[in-house]
This record gives sequence, C-alpha cells and structure tokens, in this order.
Amino acid sequence: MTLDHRLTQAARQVAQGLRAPAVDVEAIRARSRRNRRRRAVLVVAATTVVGVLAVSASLLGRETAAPDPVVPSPTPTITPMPTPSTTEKPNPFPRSMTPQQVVDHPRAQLWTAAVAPDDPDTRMSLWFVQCLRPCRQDGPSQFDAMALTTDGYETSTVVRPGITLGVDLQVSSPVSGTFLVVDMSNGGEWLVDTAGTVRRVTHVATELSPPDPRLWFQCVGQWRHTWCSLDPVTAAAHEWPRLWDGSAVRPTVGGRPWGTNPRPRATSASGNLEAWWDTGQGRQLRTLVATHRGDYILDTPPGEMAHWAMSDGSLTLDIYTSRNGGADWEVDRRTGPVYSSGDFLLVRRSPAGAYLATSTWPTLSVWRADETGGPFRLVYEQPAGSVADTSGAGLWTQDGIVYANSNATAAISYDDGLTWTSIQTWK
Amino acid sequence: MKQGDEDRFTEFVRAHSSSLFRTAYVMTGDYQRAEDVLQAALVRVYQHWGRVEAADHPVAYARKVVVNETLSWWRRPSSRETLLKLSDEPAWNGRVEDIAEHERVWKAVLSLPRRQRAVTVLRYYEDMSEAQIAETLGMAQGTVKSHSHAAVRRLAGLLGEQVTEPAQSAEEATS
Repeated sequence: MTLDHRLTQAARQVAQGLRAPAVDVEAIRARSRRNRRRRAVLVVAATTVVGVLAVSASLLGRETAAPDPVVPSPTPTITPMPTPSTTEKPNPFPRSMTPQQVVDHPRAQLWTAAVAPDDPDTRMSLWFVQCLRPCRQDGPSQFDAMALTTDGYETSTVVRPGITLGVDLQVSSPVSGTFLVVDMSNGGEWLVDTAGTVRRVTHVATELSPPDPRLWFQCVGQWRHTWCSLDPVTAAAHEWPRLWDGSAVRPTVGGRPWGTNPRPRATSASGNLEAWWDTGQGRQLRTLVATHRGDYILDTPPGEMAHWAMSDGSLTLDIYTSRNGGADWEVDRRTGPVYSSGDFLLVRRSPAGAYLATSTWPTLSVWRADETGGPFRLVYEQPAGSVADTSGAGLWTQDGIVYANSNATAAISYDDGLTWTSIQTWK
Repeated sequence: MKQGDEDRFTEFVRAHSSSLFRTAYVMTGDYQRAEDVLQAALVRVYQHWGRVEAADHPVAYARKVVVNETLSWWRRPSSRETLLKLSDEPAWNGRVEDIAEHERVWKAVLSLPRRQRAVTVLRYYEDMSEAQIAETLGMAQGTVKSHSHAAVRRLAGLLGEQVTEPAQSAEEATS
C-alpha cells in the first residue's frame, strides 16, 4: 500500500469513527454577546485614555507657549473592565433526566435509528443528550433514551435503552414488532420489542439452522463477521463454528463457506483481493487482482461466488464471479458513479438479482446495476440537511424489500432498488 | 441580528457543526481542544454572519475560520503538544485486531510540524485541492506544495514507506 493510500484510508476511517459533540447554539450567541460587550468596554476605555492624553498634551503645549490659567477639566470616568475568568464554571447539567426528557431535549442527538422493513411505521430510535463542556466532574455527563413506535411516531414508547451505545450498532428486524440490535464494535446483541422490553441475547455454540432468512445475522467473529442464527423466543444466538468466520454466505445444511481474504490478510493491508472457499477437504485460495479495495458480494445465488474490486483511482467496479466451484473466474467490468473511495462500499444482490452498491460515507447512497450488464446508476442519495452522523449503517433485503439506513435516514424500496422512499421522522 | 438570520444561523450550526468539528479534531488531534476551537469559530461565524452567509460557499468560509482558530491556538504559548515516537512501537504485521493501522498513520500525521500538519490534514482529511488549501491557509500554492512534499518525506520516514508524490485530489484530477 502506498503512503498516499494509507493516508487517504486513515483519513476516511478517522472521519467515520468520529462522533461530534452537541453544540449549544444559545451558548454561542451568549458568548458572542459577552465578547461584544467586552470589546465595547475596551473601545470606551481606549477612547477615554486617548482623550485624557490629548487634553494633557494640549495643556503641556500651552504651558510652553503661554502660561494661561489652568481650566479644571472633569475627571474621566473609566468603566471597570470585566475580568475574564481563567477557569470557566461548569455548565449546568441535570443530575437526572427521564427518557422522555432526553428525547424532547432541544439538544437531543440521534445515536441510531431503524425501521422494520415489513412495516415502515414500526421504528426505533436511540437518543442521547450530552453536557456541554466544561462538564461537572462529579455528575453524569450523558443521558440516553430509546423511542419505539408502531405508527410512525404518532404515538411512542420511550424507555431507557438498557443497552451499550457502541460506535457501530446495526439494527435489523428478525420478527415483526421486534428489533435486533447488534453492537459490532463490542460484540453484544439485544432484542427490543415495541413495548420497550429489552432482552440481552446469549450465545450458544450450536448449529441451529432456521429456514427464515430474517433469523440469520452477521455477528462479531474472530476474524471479521461470522454467522449467528437467532431463536427469538429464548433470545439465544446460535453461533456457528469458526469455519464460517468471514464467510459471505450463511450456513446451510451441506453448504460450504466462501469469502474474501482469509485471516489475517485484509485486502486493504495486503493489496490483493483473494477468494477463498472451503471444499470439504480443505480451504482453496486464489488471488483475483492486486487492489486495496474489494470484498465479497452478499446474497449471491446458490452455486455462485462473487467478489467486487475497485482499481486505485478508477471509477469502475469489477465483479469476479465463479459458477463452477472456483475453477474459473470471469470478470465483469461495470462503470458508473460509484463513490470513488470504495472504503465503505457494500455490494449485494437485490431480490431480483441486480447488483446494489451502497456507501455510507460521506452520505448514504445506493447505486444499482442490472444483473445482465450496464453501468451502476445512482438510485438513492440521502436528502441534504439530514441530521449528523449516526451509527448502524447498512443495506439489507427482506421478503423482496430493499432497505438501507445511515445518518438518521432510512430508505425503503419496494421495486428491487429502482425507486426509494426516505424516512426521517424518529420521534 | 434579525429573527430570520438567527434561524438560518441555527440551521447552519445544526447542518455543519459535525463536519466543522471533524476539521477541528483532525487539526488538533484532541477532542476537547477541538470542541473549544469549534465553539470559538462558531462565535466568530455568528458575529460575522452577514458576511458568512453572503459568501459563495458559507461552509468553506466557516471551515477557514476553524482552521485559523486552530492555527492561532497553535501559536499560543500555553498550547503544548507531545510528539509521538512511533519507532518504539512494534511493526504492524497485518493483523487488524492487533493495531489499528489508521490510528498509527494518524498519530504520525499529528507529529508533523504545524504547517505541514495543516497542509496534510486539509489534503487528505478534507480532500482539498492545493488551491483550496492555499486559500484556506492564506499562503501561496508553491508554499503549500513545499510543505506537502516535506510532510510526505517525513511521514514516509515515520511509517517506513517509500516516498511517493501525493495523488491529485478528485477535483484536480477531473479539472
């Protein structure tokens, strides 16, 4: 990897992981007014001093020219300047807040938001309010709340989250009226229903294989994501063996895992996009292309392995596909306005087989390319002026519906990713 | 300020404070310092709101204020920075769970001399062209170029890389 590349990538990742603080606009106005007053006082004081000096100089001049009688002048009044404090007083911040107060607070910020694809009026949002610096040393500095609804926030249930607000929360809806929150940074999972009940998901090492695709999710693995299946009744995640860690395809009876770049060679570090697949007699490996940007394609049809790659500085996206167990790989080069970085690109097949690419940085965007050929075209872009970054970004398909979320925006498509509806109401 | 101006300023802060904070953060490398810089910059933006709003690119104008606030913070005698020593760290062996590569690179950027750091941050973290950097920092394009070259040489030494020319930014590449 070139230095230029490392810098560009580091920049993007720092920007992605950064969570900005709340800004109190009223505090800015107040400080601005204080500055103005201080400046005004300084101007008055300076003018007065200049006046006194001018009077003194003229008196001195007169003394040397002709000794006129001294005319008493009024004593100048100097307004005392406010002394700027060296240590700012802590901002007032409550010692307790109810969840409803958190959500209603003018400085409440969204942590993450999600919608149930099968019912877009069923939504969940996580909110927080932070104190403004300087914060009190001995008190709380943040309060969290979770708002749930089944009618698009006409009415809502607001509770304390009871879950860790990690930097990368992914939220899906495995069962109607229930959300699965996965903390990809710390490895925890919770089931949250629309009544506000939160259950911690426990992990068991068994190979449960539910037929409902919604009950499968990518959980934190040793190398990257591995596969877990969910039992929503017992709130248990059945974590499949390490063999499936990094697999693009979820476990099936008799199925074999395959993926991109085995441990420990990440594409971004090794500079090679590698395909691996398990044959039952061992793991096969093939280097597809030299690049720093590439990954597997999710939701490929049975019997097909596919990876995407972007060349450095290029706006084309190459799709490497094998349909004969890795013996041959064909390359399909697609052009299109896919976001040039590719660092945060996710590619998956749509319900009808089209290619969907999504990037969450700097804004949520989705591109679509037909299965048979043609360029990637931008089909969705997050509306301007959306709220600041939130975590939990991704692109999912479920029962013929395509769903994407990031940056306090969720978008749903009912026609295989051709047209999209934005959802931005979260309380 | 009229109510309409106040409302637009509030809207501006809501829409752009995250991005401006990011600039302050990558310039200072310190979360709390970045908060201070952002607040001071927004106070200035508020005081000159008429001028900011009338600018062709109000966000670029505000970003310039943030950068200038950072530079003036750097000039203050009380601002102390610690230069990082990466030579003692183990070499990264490609295991993503061992060392976050981007953090290592970023620390190296933060160890650069101030002007070099500013140029590097604006180039890579804000994706600005040389012309935009020159405009933001109030220096000639040639000066930006020389700071940029010096930064790349130093970073290559710190990170054990071959010296390569910085790539063109997207804007330059398409112009």
